[in-house]
Amino acid sequence: MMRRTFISLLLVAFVTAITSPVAAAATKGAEYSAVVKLVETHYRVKHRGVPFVANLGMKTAKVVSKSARRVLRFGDFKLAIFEDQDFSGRDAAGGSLRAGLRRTLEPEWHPLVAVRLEDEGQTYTYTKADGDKFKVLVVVIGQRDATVLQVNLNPEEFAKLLLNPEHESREMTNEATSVEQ
Amino acid sequence: MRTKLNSWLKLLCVGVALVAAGANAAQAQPPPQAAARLQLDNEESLAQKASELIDVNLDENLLRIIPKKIVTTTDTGAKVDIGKIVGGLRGVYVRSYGFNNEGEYGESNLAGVRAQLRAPGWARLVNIVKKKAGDDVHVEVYMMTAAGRIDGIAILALEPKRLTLVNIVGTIDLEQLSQLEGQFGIPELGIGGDDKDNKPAKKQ
Repeated sequence: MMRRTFISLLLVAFVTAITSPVAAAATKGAEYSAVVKLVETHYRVKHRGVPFVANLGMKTAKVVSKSARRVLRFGDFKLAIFEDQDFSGRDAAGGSLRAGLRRTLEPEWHPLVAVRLEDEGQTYTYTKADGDKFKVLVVVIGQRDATVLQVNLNPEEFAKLLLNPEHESREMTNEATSVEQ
Repeated sequence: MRTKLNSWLKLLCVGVALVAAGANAAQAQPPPQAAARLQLDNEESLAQKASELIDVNLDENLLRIIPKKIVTTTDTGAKVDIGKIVGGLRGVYVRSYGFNNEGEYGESNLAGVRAQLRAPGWARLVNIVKKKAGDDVHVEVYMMTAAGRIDGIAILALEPKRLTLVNIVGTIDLEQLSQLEGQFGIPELGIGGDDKDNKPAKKQ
């Protein structure tokens, strides 16, 4: 009887060990999509996705050469842009967007900074360790525009973000979305 | 043969149970300086009411990523050895709420934090009034000590239309605290500086 229990326990441990990475891989990138969806449903807006590699050469992408160089150092990244849409009408205080982000991302993602300023809008930055890199997800909501950006940072770039989380979050978003003059 | 196998299995189970119990006991021990971590999220009602919000959370895992040798420059051009200061820290937490009108927050909103600051180990070090854009800013700085070492600092900055709460967990003194202003989302409060506008607050 005891032997059977022991074998069952071994089997359970084995199945758990081999299925966990599969489950993790299946949900890879799911949080980014869920956050984009959350912004869309919360403000009733639609985004324009910019998968970097696919759109770099296309005029539709706002991410262009010079400004893209720093972003390139972040490695693989995802960017959704919401342009010229109304972000002021619904829940101007932004409280429930923050609550929605918490429900969507925590506890797997760490809430590094949440800022809501009357002049500058809202910025939410979440982080997650990913091997020797760090995933950073930044949501910036302005009066008429918004972005959702996910990047992978190396430890040096990540340390810079930690020293000045709000400023660096906005810098990253600005660099990812600004057009070269 | 079967009896021998059963004996081994029993021994294995006892061993696993002992290891698990040991691990749980180790987990049950709070890490040093954990008592200096304040629960600031009880103030969620303020976040809903506030027109502006700053919420920064840097836990120990994140602070460990900051290189030991990193020097930053303040607005005044002074060099700050941030890496050295951060080496002793276990967490930095900032909550700042801005309001459109005076009187939108009160002492009742601070009751939770003040109750935590009455716990053994916490003592108020500084209670000053500063001038900022013509308004009085009441700044209270609390320090937690245990067994002769500093375990953390808490700052309450009360302005007519803004309330700021800062909790730094770890080894830090007032001079280092003043050097951290402007970093990690910690606002410039002028603590530790020779500011002639500082005056002691009236006893409450």
